[in-house]
Amino acid sequence: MAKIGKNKRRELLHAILKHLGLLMGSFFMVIPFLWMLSTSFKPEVEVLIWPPRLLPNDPTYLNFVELFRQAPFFRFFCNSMLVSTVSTIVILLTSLVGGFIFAKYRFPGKNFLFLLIIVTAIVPFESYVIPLYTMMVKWKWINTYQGIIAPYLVMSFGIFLLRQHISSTISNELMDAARIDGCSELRILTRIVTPLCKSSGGALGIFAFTQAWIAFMWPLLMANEKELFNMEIGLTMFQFKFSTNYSLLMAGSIISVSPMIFIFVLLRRQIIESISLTGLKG
Amino acid sequence: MQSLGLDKYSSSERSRFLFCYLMLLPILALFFLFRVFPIIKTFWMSFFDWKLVGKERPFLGLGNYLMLLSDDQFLLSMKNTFLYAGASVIICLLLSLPIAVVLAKKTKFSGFYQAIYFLPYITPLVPMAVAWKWIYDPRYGILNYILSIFGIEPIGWLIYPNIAIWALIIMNVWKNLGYNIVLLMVGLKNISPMYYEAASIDGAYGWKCFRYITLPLLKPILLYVLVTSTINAFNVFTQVYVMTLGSQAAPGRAVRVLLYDIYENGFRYFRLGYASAEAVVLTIIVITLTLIQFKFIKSEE
Amino acid sequence: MKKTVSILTLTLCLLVLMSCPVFAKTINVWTGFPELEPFYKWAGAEFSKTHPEIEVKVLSTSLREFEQKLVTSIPTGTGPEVFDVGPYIAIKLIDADLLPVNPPELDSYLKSGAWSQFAVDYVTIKGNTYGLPLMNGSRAALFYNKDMFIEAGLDPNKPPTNYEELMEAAQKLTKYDKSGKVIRSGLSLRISGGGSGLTEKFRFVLHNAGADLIVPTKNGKWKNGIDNEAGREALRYYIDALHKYKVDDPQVKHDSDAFVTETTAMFLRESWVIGEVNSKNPNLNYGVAPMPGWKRYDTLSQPWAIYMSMEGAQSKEVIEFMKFLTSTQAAPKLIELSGWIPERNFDSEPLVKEIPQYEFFVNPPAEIGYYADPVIPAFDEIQTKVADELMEAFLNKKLVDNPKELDKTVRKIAKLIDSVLKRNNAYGK
Repeated sequence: MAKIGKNKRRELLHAILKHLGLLMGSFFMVIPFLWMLSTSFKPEVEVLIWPPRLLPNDPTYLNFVELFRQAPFFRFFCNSMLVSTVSTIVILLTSLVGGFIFAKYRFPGKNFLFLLIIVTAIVPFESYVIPLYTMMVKWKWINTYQGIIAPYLVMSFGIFLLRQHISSTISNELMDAARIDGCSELRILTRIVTPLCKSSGGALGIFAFTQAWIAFMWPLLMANEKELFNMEIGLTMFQFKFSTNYSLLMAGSIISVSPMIFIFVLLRRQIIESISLTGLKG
Repeated sequence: MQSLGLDKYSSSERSRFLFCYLMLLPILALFFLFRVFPIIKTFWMSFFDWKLVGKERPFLGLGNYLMLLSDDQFLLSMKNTFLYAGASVIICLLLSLPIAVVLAKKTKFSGFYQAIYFLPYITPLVPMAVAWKWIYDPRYGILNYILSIFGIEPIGWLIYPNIAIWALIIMNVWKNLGYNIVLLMVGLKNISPMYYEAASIDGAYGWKCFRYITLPLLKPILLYVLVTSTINAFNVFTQVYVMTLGSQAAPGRAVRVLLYDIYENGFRYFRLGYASAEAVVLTIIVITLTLIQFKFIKSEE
Repeated sequence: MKKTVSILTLTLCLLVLMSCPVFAKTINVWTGFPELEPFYKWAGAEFSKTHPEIEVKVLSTSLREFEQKLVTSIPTGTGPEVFDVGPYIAIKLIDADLLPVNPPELDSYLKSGAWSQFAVDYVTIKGNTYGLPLMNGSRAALFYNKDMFIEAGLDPNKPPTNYEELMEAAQKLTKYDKSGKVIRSGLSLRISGGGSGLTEKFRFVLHNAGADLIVPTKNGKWKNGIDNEAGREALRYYIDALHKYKVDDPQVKHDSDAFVTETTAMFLRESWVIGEVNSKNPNLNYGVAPMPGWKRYDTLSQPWAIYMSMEGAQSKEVIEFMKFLTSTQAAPKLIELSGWIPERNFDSEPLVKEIPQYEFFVNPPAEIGYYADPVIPAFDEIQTKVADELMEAFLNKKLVDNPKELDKTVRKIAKLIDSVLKRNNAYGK
């Protein structure tokens, strides 16, 4: 009896230590968010108080009013939304079609083309922005939506992911059966393959959306006017202007962070799953 | 048709090829325009003294690359990037492994913890970099306040060159910890419980069990995490950009990383050829890392 | 549910993006100075009163983006009609035939006597004039807090006139806590951030100590001018201030922020600080004095001009707007809204009456000399790269009373400057 009690106590101690460690880690993770949130509600004078307080003494929402007066953050949000949505839709479309063709058909040059698509994924995007940029200059696509979106229309990984998915879930027999029923190849794609790609398509969609949302260097180069800034660039320029007014800056940061946090809270499970899925691309 | 050797195929096959090519055409066009062509052009430009303004662009051969070897700023940015990548990847791995092990077991609130640790990974970089700049503020920042509770003197995080790079590393660890944890948990969950049962029969518990069973079986995913995070770390730009912007910002020299140097040479001094040469170096590093990964995975299999 | 929400958000976004009003004609104005934005906006609104079909749109971005965007959009005709930019960028564009020569109307306006010969010469390149000098982008002075002077037993009406006196005063003005750490700096130096600006501030000391970053050679080229006694003296001045006399510390507040919040007693800055003080701490009792001297008593004075694009020069309205921006009507507004001093002559009496601190900037004493940035394209790169080196050197405690190390550092910087010059084919012996 005594031995069991000892074991139990040991287990309990273990559990407590474990959770203590995990909680401390969690604290480290969320403190930047809390600090940001609390500063954004402090009046400017209160920001420069030592020792700092986690909770504002005299909370005020005026920072947010000032923020929207100083910069069109709603417009930035709309731009981010627009670019990310278009990019996601086109990537889903191209990945679906590309994945389908590469998974289910044999044609001359297939391996070479597929390899080409995969190899370009290895080269980091930022390392070839220079020629991409001069190309946009030549096309006069600088400072346009199409210029900002253009490099975000295809994703090698998306084609790879859907190819894997389609070749493992859709059998050739199924396709042949559909053909006998008189389905054209295009109809097979829209009626049979597409509905079966929902799960990996969803994961890819989340991945593509975030990628376009957090894009930085490219829109920084492309967007010349406020009207085209996304959230990231908008906040960067705002930072430049108010580099030491931290209550205002934190209000801006809160506004920029909240859409992503909102999406995360809504789709937490799917997002984590999609990352672990995309993580296994090797 | 004959010259392409397509006559060995039947007409129905040929019409199917046509269907494939037609469907792939727009996709391949996009790939060619926005991926293949710029990649090749980067290599091409790196052999010229290519400027943004002005029509003269003399051929230099390997001149740009030779210049890189004696360019202090480039060498410094290489050093900083390697330090940044190496340190943040190792620290991140060492921290995430125990957390993943604990969370992969049946721990209460496991999902909650996972979400909390994962949160920084999905938040955009710019607002977080601005927030960290404020956390690092030498006079009123909360980090120095927390340290002062433990009697540590205030540190000028973004002021002193040797410290500034560590400030960036800390932020990177914070950001990517959750990503590592999620991937490692996938790896851990894929280890069949049979192994552990067998081990417990042999009397292996705790550390021993971890060392001789978990770790070897986790090796492929560990390697994967290692390589992807290293590649990720090599592409660091946004944080550096934001943190060096404005007055009272981080010293440019201390946190000069490869992409920042490329950006500055390319888009501030308009030395496109030179910046392309640097980009080629970055590409080669990343490809080498990827090849190492492939090789290891092959040998594992 | 999720679907409806996302579709709704998207439609809303599209509506917002499409709902921008359309004007018959827009004049786009770009600037690298955020503080100029209110001025341009005022000018735009004022201009629209007489030209109702015109809308003036203003964009301000940080200087480093601004220059990149300008240089790529001007050649393709997608840029602004009117912009202000530093001489090192303007000369690049002029070299590539991308900026229009002033039409006769602007040329005669420029030479009508409204500007000093120094300013006219500065925008004259190979016999042609380009753009109109809008403001003085660099004229700096010593700002000092009179209350702190009194508190430290110094005469508030006798500010330091040379760098030696400046350091002595700074020592008296610095406040330390019990452990000997600076809590209020006596002299706030620019020691971090901001790229080329740091070098520009260093040049205040360097130039008056008797040296320049680069000096012209006989064959019309350039070489570094700091590998000499004056160069070492200037660096030593910073090192001593930080580590020997401890009149400043990297961890305290700096720049105008510090001056406005009364955490520094003195610093060297341009006229816009006056505007800052007025808006943020109007009760501050402070004075403005000429730049301290050493071997020379000079002040950096950098004309900053507005230019038109090729397309802009075709439009009558754009030319009129250029003239309006530099008119006597706009000049006092420029000071009021941005704090920068107009380059053209104007009646400054009402202004000085209201804010006496402007006196030095608008009516500088006749005996001081001026210098400006050398007009070569590589100068920005040199300043930025030197800034990185300086930043590291300033924090290096080993340089205190260590002529050998100091010499090594200066040589390293000199070598860096020469290497940039060589690469740009601008180096000569």
